[in-house]
This record gives sequence, C-alpha cells and structure tokens, in this order.
Amino acid sequence: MFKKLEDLSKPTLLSKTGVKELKQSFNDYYPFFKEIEDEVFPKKANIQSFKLRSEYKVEIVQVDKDYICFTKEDLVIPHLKLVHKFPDLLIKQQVDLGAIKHILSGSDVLAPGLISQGGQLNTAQKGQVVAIYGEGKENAMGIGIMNANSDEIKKDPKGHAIQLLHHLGDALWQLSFK
Amino acid sequence: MSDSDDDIFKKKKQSKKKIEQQQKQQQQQQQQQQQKQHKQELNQPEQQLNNPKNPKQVIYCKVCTLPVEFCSFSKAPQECKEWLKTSFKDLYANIYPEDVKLEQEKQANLQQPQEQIAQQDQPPEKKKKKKVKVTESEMVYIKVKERNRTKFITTLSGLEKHGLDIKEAQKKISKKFGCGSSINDKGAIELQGDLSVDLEEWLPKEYPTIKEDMIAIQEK
Repeated sequence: MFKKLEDLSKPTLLSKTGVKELKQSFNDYYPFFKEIEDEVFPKKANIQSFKLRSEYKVEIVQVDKDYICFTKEDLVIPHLKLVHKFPDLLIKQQVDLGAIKHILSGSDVLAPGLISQGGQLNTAQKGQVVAIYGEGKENAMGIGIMNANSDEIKKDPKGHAIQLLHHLGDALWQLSFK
Repeated sequence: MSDSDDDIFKKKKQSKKKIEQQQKQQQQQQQQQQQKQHKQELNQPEQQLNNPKNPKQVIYCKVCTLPVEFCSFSKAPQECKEWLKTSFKDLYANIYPEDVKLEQEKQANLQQPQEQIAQQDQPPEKKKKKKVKVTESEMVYIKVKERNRTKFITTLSGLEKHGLDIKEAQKKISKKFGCGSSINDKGAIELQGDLSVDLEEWLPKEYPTIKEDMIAIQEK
C-alpha cells in the first residue's frame, strides 16, 4: 500500500474530540492498549495528522515527531516502530525462511507458508489485524489483515491468507528515518 | 559541683515512653532500608525484562535502517557488516559466528614461521614478473580522425598479420555496429563513427588469436 509517498499534505492539528475518537478506537480493537496509553499519548503533546491525496480516507498520525499509527476507513493500524517497542499489542503469525525475501518486497502471504514446518498459525478471525514474524527472528516484519478464519485455512491451504499493508523498508518506514 | 547539678536539672529527662518510641522508629527504618535494597538487587533485571509495559529497545543499522538481524536482505550487506564490527562487537559475534572463526584461523596461520612461506612464494612471483614482449609483427592499430565537428572516422590496420580475410572482417563489423565501411588504398578498414572503445572489447572475443596487449590506439 505504501510503495510511493508523493502526495502528502501539510500537517494539521487534531482537536480534542479527534484525539478522543482515536483513543477509543484503539481501545476497541486492541485490549492491551489501556496500560500503554499514558506513554504513547503523553499530556501536553503535539498531535498532528497528514492526509494522503492519492488514496481514499487514509491519514497518518504523528506525536512529537514520532510516527505512531495510520487510519484506513475506520480501522486504526499501529506503526511498526510501536510494535517493536510493545510486542504484545498484536497477535503473532510466523512464516518460514524462504518467504522472508518476498514479503520484504511487498507481496501477500500465501497459505502453504503458514502451515509448513517453520511456520505457526494462531487463532484469529476474519478481518483482524495481525503481525507477521520470520523464522528465527525476534522482531516483527510486517502488518496485515486476515482474509479468512484460521480454521478454514487449516482445512484448505490454498491461496492468499493475509493481505499485506505495511512492511519493513516501506515508504512509511523511511519517512521516520529522515 | 554546682555546675554539674545545674546541668542535670537543665536537661530534661526523657520519659520512658518516648525512649521506646524512638527505638521502635529506628528499628523500622532500618528494616525498610534493608528490604528496599534487597528488592532492588533482585528485581531490577526482572522488571525490565518481564514487564510488558516497559518499552523494548531495538538497535537499527545506520546503513540500511533495518533491525540488525535483517541486514542480509538489504541492498549492500557488506557495508552493514563493517559498520557492525566497529560499533557493536557483541552482536557481531552473535549474528555472524562463521566470520569470527575465519578471522581466528587466519591469525593462527600468520603466526607460523614466516620463512617457509617466503621461500615458497618467491619462485612463482618471479615467473609472473616476466612479461612477454609483443613484437611489431603482431600489433593492430586503431586511429580516430575528425571529419566535421560531430563526425569521426576510425581506421583499423594490421589484421593481415593474423591471417584474417579483410573483406569478411569488414562485413562482420559493419553488421554488428551498424555503420558504413570501406577499404583504403593501403589495405586498412575505414568505419564511420567513433568505435575505438567498442573495438577494443570486441576484437579479442571474436578472434582469440588477438590478445589485449596487441591492440594500440594511436593518437593524432
């Protein structure tokens, strides 16, 4: 989704109601977020948001020069740096060694990679946000959305299982290192 | 005598209750301090590791901006390795244990008596230094001339010495490079355009009898 970032608008300050809605949607999707709330959104912080013109209803949120999350049509998805700091936020799925090269260049996750010897499939529902790990690595590699329930994938391992939204080496990832 | 009596009466004796209270407070303070020190020594590393509320620190490579274990999937993995060597030696030993072994073996080999190695290396070095001199009867010459401001002519001479047919060579060259060609009065090939660099690479591949030392580009 973030192959090229060309049309970034200027930053706008979020109002109090906007910040409240953000925090509420975070708490709805990720139950672990209650304990981290004060560290991620400190008091007297400068919260800004950027809009993308090339896509429909996508915004990037920034707090005090740290990129935290981005929203896509009512879904709130955290940035990879947040997931590195607090790895208990998202459910973990593991892929085997041969698929790491393809995921880092932007392809989707196929079902046989999750079922083979080096992979792990945890229970998740359709439409949930999930973090992707590699075999033998500590830190997360990418974030995606499940296409089907985990039970159905075990019965019929065919086709796309997880749709990729954000991965290491993205245009979003390189934004935070300028 | 009077002073000592005055001192005794000036100082008020503390009642028994107050003395007991003070002793209790001192004991409690000592116990609390001991407990605090005991807790800090035990729990410091555990708190930082096991508590999921504390943020985990990750080291990112400066060359490729990825976490250190993903450096082999980046564009220039050799530069990432060299940066790791200088800054974080512990992580370098964890992630690349094979390179550490190779370096140790090299150092062990160097410590062997160096005389034996020097004697073995001398005769093959002498053979490499001898360069075979190229005689005149094998040289091939290339010249470049200007016709107008933007147009050039290259002349090839000396191909007969290797036993090659001039007409066949002319046809091959003009087909390969897409240029016009003709044969001189003196027996040399003339080509339209500046092809000195291309001919230098192409000639040894087509005709293996011509080697790189035998081609010379003449200046005006």
